Amino acid sequence: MITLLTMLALSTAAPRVPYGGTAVALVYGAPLSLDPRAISTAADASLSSLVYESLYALDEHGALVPVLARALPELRGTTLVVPLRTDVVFHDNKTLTASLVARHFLSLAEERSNSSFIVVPVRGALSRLAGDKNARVYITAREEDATVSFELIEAYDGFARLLASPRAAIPGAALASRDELFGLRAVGTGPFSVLEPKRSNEHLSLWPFRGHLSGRPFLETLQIKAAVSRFGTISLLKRADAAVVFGVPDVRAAKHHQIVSWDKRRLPLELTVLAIGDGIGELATEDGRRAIDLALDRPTLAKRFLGNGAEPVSNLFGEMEQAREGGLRERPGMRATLLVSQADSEAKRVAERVQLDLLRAGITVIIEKVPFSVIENRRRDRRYDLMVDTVYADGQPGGVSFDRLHALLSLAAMRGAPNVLSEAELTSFLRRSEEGRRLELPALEKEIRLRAGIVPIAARAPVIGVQKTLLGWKLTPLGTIELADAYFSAEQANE
Amino acid sequence: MRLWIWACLIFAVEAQAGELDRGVTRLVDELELPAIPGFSPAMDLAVVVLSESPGSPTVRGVTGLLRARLYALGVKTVLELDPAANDAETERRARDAGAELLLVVRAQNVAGKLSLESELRGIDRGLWVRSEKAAIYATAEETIDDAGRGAVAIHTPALTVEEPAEGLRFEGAPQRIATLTDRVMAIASCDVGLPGGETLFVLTKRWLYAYLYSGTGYAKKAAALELYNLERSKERTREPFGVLSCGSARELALGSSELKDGQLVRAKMQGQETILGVTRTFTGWPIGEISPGKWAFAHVDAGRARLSASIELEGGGKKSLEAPVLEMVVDRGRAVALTERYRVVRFSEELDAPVVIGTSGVGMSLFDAPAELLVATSSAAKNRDRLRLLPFDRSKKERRSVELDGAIHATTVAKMSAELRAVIAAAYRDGKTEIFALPLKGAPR
Repeated sequence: MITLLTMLALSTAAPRVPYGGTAVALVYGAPLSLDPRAISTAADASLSSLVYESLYALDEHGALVPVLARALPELRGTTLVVPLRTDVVFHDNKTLTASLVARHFLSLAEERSNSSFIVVPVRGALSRLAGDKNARVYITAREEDATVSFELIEAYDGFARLLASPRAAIPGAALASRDELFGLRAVGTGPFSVLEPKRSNEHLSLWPFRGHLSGRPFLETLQIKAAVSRFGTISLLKRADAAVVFGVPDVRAAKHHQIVSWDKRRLPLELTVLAIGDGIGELATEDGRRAIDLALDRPTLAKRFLGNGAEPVSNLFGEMEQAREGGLRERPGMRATLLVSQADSEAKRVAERVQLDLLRAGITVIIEKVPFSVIENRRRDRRYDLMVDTVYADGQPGGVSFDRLHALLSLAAMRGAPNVLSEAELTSFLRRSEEGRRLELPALEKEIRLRAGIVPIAARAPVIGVQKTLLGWKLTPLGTIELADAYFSAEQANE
Repeated sequence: MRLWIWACLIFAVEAQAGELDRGVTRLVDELELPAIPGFSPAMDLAVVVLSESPGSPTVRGVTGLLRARLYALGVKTVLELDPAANDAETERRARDAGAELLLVVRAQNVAGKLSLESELRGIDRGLWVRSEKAAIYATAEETIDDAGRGAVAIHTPALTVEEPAEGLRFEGAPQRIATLTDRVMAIASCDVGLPGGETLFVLTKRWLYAYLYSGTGYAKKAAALELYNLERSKERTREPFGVLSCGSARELALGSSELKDGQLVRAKMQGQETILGVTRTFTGWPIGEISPGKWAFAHVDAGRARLSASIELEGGGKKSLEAPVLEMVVDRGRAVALTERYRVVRFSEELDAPVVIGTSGVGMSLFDAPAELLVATSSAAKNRDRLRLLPFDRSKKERRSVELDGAIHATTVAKMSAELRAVIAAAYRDGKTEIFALPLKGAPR
């Protein structure tokens, strides 16, 4: 006799969250870059946030909340002052200090990376990024009251929202052995520790960080796996072997998973783009870029070669503009090399179709499949003709004008052009009213797109599948999934 | 096919083989195997009987009877296993033997009766389904008078408890006596020498509050001690938790996952003002006095929101529990702990001889009088929890229970005035904690 009453007698009041379990995070698509300075996709951003943390985060309403900062920032004239927590330690037990934080942000102006756009509004940073070694970058640390100050080219409190980006996370000391496959280069303060990671050719295991400021995570192990094949990924989905799957190639197979749904008002975007580098010669002219732009059959590329929710787009806000005047312009006799990561099977398929489209426009393209490290270097130095790549917009493309500006700057930084706008252009934009900035944005987008050499092909919101037995995770407005509080239902957790 | 089913039927029978047979039959019937979704007699089932006397005639008898009952139900393959060192190892062995289901039966003698407790676990749900932790599909309990006399080691309750006062029960509706915006980790009602009798202490992440009971049945905040001024723990738990214990020398002891050390707190009056101050620190969490002035200490289990299995006693000595526990309450000769499977375990005075006496959520508390009762919690329905008065002797019936809105996190038993005894409970809902008093009827004055 099993009665309802006896069932209820066992169900517990206010149960504690169970500890344990290995969560496998499977990533299909572009190779992983967990270092905050090399984040390229939504999967990178989500997984990087488990190891590295930023001064702030955005809550579900898009409001700033302190993480490594101890309070909200204060704008004093053109200087933004950020008070820091004094009880934060890195995975190697070293303390987070104001000097270390300031040094990190200064380094973003020293060396171009996907994170360099964070410091673009800081006085002196654009000159330094343009190669002026004598330019002073106005970021200062005060250990006495544990604060870091950013002197900005124009007073705007929206700058603090840049500090909430996963790309603004603070790495600590360099790791003794850098893990190039997963892009791990330094210790962090995040809930999962990179010290003594267990590593194989296929996966990386990270352990809970007991010294984390909010306490160790509930999961016992986080295993990050790069998907080997499209079919392998579907098979893993069917077997429910992965707790979180990024870039799910076939949503229908996700019987054991739920596919996350994003807030339509703040849809984060992953863009597949054809990037135009500095090595392309004649095609680098505006006319040449327009020819490439018009040659691409975006609907076919989006629906047949990408799929998985991809929509054709022609601008960096993820919109499809009306057909451009002039139609296809043939450029007979032109030749270009198209770089694509040899580990990114999706990009390789897109590259083949792009090759066909460009051939129809009279541009002969030779596809060169190169290691991911080469792709990373070429993104920074722009020494290539063409490249099929994925870019992930930071700062909410659908948000307020500051957020949209940050999104554009992040995309330019990913193409090696963090200084795509001059200080005068940026100041002029920031001085306008919200309405004025909103009206200015389309022209700014077009200018950034041309200067940074980005030809958008398709966009999609990050496709993330989460095993139904994994609970406690949440989505952020920046398009990432937070797993620090995630746990398995009681019967799944194991020690 | 993940289902928690639990059934309890207590009855008395004579200690004869026939009765043992009937007891085992009922135990297996309680599991209602055919009614479990996905169960098929074709599944391979392993059986293990756990007892302090493995291989004893009773254990062999129970095993044989179980096998017979299972075959009678149509189960095709029953594998008998010897008990392993722990649950995980038992499950591994069963899995290795090819079993898909594992029936674990615990046989123990409680107060002269053979108690059988069974649990059916799914241990292998297919080649591609990870199953390190078993899914529990059904459990059942059976108690048989004297059946195991001489055969099963006896868990003699180490505590001599008096019969409970007649008719102790909740009386009337719960009365909200205070509201906090913080989540409450522990509460305790202690006599710390302040005028008016006992004081209600409330522990949150950042504060220790003292409330004085008013003559009208409410509680008025009288003092607060900021805990963030004390040395913080380097290993906080993601889900904060803590303990409050009353000391026999009119003091209060606390442990919090936010703090490095346990603290001993005294209260005093300074003019009209109540002052709380730390008088001593401990290296562990003071979970209660094992005897007057002698504290027992627990430690946080490696940054997890639970206590490690090692309990230290003041003045030297250690006790080891079988596994980490979610909470533990010690009070001069009595000790209960809550396991990770939400079983309430009673211990002897020496913190030995664990005996499962029931189930509860977190937030248990002990009565001082009558001394054989504790307050247990459980879910009643959506957004409501239930408080139950649970006897130490599980052959006795539970007393009447009462329901509260919200999720109960902490309870204490209070003497609110010379005439009024009550259970105080902290329940969290809609971003705030409400503290309720539930008057008791039939309690000794």
